[in-house]
Amino acid sequence: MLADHYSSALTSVRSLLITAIEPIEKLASLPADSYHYFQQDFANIESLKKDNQDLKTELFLMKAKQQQLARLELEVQRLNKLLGKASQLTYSNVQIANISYYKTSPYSQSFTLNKGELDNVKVKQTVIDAYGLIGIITHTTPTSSKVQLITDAEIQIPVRIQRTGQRGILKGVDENTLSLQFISNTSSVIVGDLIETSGLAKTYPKGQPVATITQFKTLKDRPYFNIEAKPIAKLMAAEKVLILSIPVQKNGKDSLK
Amino acid sequence: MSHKVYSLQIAQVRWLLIISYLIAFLIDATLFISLDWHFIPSITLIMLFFWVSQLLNKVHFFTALVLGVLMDATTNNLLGSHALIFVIATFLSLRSRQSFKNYPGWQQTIFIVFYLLIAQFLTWFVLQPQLTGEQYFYYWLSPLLALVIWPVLNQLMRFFTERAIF
Repeated sequence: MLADHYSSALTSVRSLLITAIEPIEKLASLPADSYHYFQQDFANIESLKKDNQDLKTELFLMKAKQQQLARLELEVQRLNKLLGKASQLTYSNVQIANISYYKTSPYSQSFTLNKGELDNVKVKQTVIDAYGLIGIITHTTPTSSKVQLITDAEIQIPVRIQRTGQRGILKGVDENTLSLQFISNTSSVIVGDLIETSGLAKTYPKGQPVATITQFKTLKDRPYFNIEAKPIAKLMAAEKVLILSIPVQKNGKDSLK
Repeated sequence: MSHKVYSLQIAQVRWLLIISYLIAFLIDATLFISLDWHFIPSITLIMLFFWVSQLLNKVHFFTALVLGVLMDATTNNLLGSHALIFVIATFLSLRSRQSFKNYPGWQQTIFIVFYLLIAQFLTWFVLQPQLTGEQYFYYWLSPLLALVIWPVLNQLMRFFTERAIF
């Protein structure tokens, strides 16, 4: 347990175990898969048409926004050159993956993706959905990978409050709740404040939306607020997710080293 | 017949042993992955209790360790957490297994509920589950489900064991 918690010495052992039990897990997920398969067959054609129309509209709006973003990116690059920054973090690519099955329980919060080492997925890659951060890849097998969700108590994310820039650590409490720690009770906090990754640990990309503050209270004789937050990403409803490649610096060096 | 069952050797039931653990593990994985039921006692652990009480010439620690590690890999917990719980629970059941085997069914069931309650206590300290609201209630009451599970599993396994031997 200590070796697994404090070092990566057992990573290959775990990968081997996960690969060995993969057939059992696939068999175990059959009832849920069958249920979803038959449930899909009952989907109304009218609702599918409506969904299609909505998606087309959304795509149209996204394309328009992307054009604006491309312009903004060029503008930022030009400004960065003027400021003389040596390098900036960038993402070389993203991969789309399907969620094979969820594994959320009071003991751990994770799910399995259908892409693994053969698709060049690596440990520590960040997983997001259309709304925000979902988690981080903790183990991989040749054909699948395990994502530990941000709501898992084992995961701690360096974050900041977007409005004030106040930095803290975000930790999982339960399936729908996160706890924002180390925010001084003299700082400004408002319910609804957006929490984003600070990029300090160099594991998560900077500025990725994570959660919104739902409530906070001052604890007697404690220097920090007790802050509760709700994840922005649809953790339990997501079917497809994006795996971000490990950030590389433009000068070619891997920033995670 | 009773003498033969009492001196049950691992070679006589090797395949039954492997298949029973495999099925128990599959049931646990299905409950966890497909059905999202987290407050049912581990069938693998109950199966381990059964074989501990049947195969008296083995201590079953290695089996407990392997099953626990596999369970950790499935539930995505730290490697060794379930293994520790399974090994301690096996140790407890080993201490009284000879008398346990001679107890009537209802008494055996009470012992199994007691062992599972201890396993639940260990889980509480080792895995520190994130529980909210009524989940605390379900968590501590889940060993009572063994009142139903153990008699069924015990009868079924005894039937298959006898079929494997005779």
